[in-house]
Amino acid sequence: MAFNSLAYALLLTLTVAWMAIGPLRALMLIVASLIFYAAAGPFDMLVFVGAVVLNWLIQVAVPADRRRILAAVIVNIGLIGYFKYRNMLLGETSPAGSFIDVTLPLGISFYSFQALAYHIDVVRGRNGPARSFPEFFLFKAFFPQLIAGPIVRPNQTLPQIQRIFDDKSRRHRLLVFGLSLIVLGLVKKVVLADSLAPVVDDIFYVPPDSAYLAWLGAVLFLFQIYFDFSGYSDIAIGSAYLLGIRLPRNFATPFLASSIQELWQRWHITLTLFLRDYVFLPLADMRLVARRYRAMQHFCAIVLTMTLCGLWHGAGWNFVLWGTLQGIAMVFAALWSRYLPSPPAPLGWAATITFFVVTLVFFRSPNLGYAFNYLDTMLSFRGGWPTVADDAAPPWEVVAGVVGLFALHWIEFRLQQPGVLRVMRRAEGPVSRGFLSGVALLLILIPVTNVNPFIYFRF
Amino acid sequence: MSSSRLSPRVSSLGRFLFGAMLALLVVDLGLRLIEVTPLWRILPVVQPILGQPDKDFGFESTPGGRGIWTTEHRARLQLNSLGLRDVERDLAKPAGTFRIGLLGDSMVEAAQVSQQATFGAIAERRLRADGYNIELINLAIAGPNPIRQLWRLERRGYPLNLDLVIANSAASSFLSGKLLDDSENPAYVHTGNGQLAVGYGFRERFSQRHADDLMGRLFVALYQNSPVFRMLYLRSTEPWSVLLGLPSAQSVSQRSVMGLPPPASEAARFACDQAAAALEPMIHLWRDHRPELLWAATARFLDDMAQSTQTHGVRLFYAIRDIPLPPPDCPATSARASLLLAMDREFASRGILLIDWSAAVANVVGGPAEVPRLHGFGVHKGAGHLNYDGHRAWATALIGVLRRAVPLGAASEDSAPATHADR
Repeated sequence: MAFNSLAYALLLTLTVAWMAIGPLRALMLIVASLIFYAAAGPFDMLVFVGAVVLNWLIQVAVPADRRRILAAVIVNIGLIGYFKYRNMLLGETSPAGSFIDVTLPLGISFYSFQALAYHIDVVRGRNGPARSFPEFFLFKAFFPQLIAGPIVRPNQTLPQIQRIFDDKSRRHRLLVFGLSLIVLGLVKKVVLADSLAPVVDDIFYVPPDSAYLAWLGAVLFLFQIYFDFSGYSDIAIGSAYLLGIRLPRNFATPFLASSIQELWQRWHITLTLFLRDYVFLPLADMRLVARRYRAMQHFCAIVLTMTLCGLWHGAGWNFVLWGTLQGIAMVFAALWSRYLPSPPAPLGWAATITFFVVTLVFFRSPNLGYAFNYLDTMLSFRGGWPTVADDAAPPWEVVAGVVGLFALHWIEFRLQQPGVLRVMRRAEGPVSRGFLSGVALLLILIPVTNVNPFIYFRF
Repeated sequence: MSSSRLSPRVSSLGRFLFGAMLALLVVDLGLRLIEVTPLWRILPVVQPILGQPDKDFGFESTPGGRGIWTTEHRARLQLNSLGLRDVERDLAKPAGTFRIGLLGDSMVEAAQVSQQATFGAIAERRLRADGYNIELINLAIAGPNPIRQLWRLERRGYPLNLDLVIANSAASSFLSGKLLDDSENPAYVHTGNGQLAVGYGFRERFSQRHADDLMGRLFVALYQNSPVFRMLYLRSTEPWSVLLGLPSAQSVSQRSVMGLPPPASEAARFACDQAAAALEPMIHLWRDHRPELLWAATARFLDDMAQSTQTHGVRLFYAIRDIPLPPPDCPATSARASLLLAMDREFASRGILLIDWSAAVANVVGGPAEVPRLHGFGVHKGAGHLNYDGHRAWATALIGVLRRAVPLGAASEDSAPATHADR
């Protein structure tokens, strides 16, 4: 069920209302989560419920030591491996020929990683285990974060879920905060991402014949994927807030970063932290080489972690190369900061964004050959200055539009300042709730000319 | 009663509703703002409804209507003061001008591109550049029923003192049964005595019954002037599953095995089989006059068109498109020739010149295999309405037809540079 659908608005409204006044709140949340996921179809549902049951069996049947971690790795990585990487390993391409694999069970990359984090944290004593299967089920299935994150850690949500089971759930009074996040997310998804999607699709449909179009396609995709995924995260966090659960932040205006490390600290934060804690740190801390080579091991760990990050995003060599390039850039930036003076912030920002835009071509392309072909055009001066033909927008309008997108990003940054929260507290009340609910409903009802599911649903 | 006397719950509800009304206004303003700035090219807009219920016509376009068309491709849409998808025209024909009316459905109306990019406008520009004193007026109105074109011609076309009318219909529109369906506009209905008469069943619709009362007029004014109201109205007409945003059966099936195109070696045979299958019902209709009722409606329509144009002293060309063009050496080629012979006989007997529009366009672009690239936009190229290349090709085909069949007046054909007309 998509967040930008009337069905979701109804489900959320009914669940929030029930959570406010009804009994058996935990059961209601489980039922709502099942309804939410049922829209994906019976096969996806079967895989999801199977994964939850298997992970619960691991908890009850395997001792809480390395054997449990091993079992969790086998089950969860096995699931992702089977559904996501089978074709890649067998040398087959996605049946849709798209950069998104539509046959992948919905959200499998997210809920598998979440289960893995759960078992590792429980074994390491960072968190107590779920006390019952329903508790564990709700931790895994809590619908606002079920299919595309944020990837939550047990210590972030399990205690909150346990409070719901104990009937001591927190009822957030600042409803305007949750509603504002939902409206912000809908604006990003419905107004911006879905509007950019057809333009990006058209440009990437056949490799563009001019550098102007190639750059335009890549820059617009940068914003499309950001608005799409951060919009999803905002709606997820806002919805969870209305249900009394706080989810971690997933984006912090990444395109204002002045280095690649900073960008990754602000982009898909929960995945970055997951990879840092469960992949990078174990790899970097392993005593594999002599002390004088530890820096080298550290850099190799960065590259390997980011390569895995690329692979997590998609089963294709283009994703692998995309991740590896991010890792290499991080090593380069680390070496630069160690041996050379920092560049002026605007220069660092421009270099970071340019690098990210160029490498995103690998992310968006259906395969490596296409990506190199696209980049060949992008990094040339082919096509010259664009001419206006066939009702096309004049180049100055296009450039103004791109500048406007960066300006919107900056405005979003300003909206995240603490002062805005104070304004919300003052504005809290029926009028603002009615206003935000109305805007959210109307945004959902905006006619769609192309159906664009959230991109990260299929990662 | 003052608000302090109301119970807190009622007061809260009132304030909540006030907030919701404020949201309506803000979103409405936002959508208007998008429409009047260059943001219309990319941000969400609500497609206009450029007409209102009409007791004689079913649905008639509103003079001066404007908006942003969004289906398939975005374009600014502006109807002139006569309610036509055309530039402003004087009803009085300028002296020495040869005036042609282009009748047709959504393919001719061409809402997907700007007015200047439509094939009629391109052809007019080219012919005028060649020295011909000519006007090509777009009279088209969207809708699959050819009969709409007849009513359109009578109401909007004849007052313009046309010299020639070129109608354009898909071959399939005579097979669809729309000529016999009066639920949306006038159509031929079967009377008890075995005759066909013009039926106005659409007048029973709720929208028609209230077209002239205050509620109906208010409704039309709201959907024509408020993007939010129009959006709510358009969404309310969708099936529940679509409105709720639930995954459709189609999207689920897309996740199973995708249909593969036939291998190149079999493509010609595949195209031949497809053409033969599509030609068969057309041959039944035009040569064998079956099904009888459908043929009776088609014949009645042709009679009415011919009689109407003859009464007004206007010549009529009828371009039929989408008559499949089989690949060479395909047995369906002879079936197609037989169909065209039968069609030509029917049209010619009524004094109408039949134009095989599929062949005319295919000739312009170098063969039937090139025709799909004239349709659709971006990732959907290959199907749908005409794209920019399509309009250029149609303009060239139209000029070719005119140069062959019409004395164009002011400038002689011989003096016009051939390259202009044929490019």
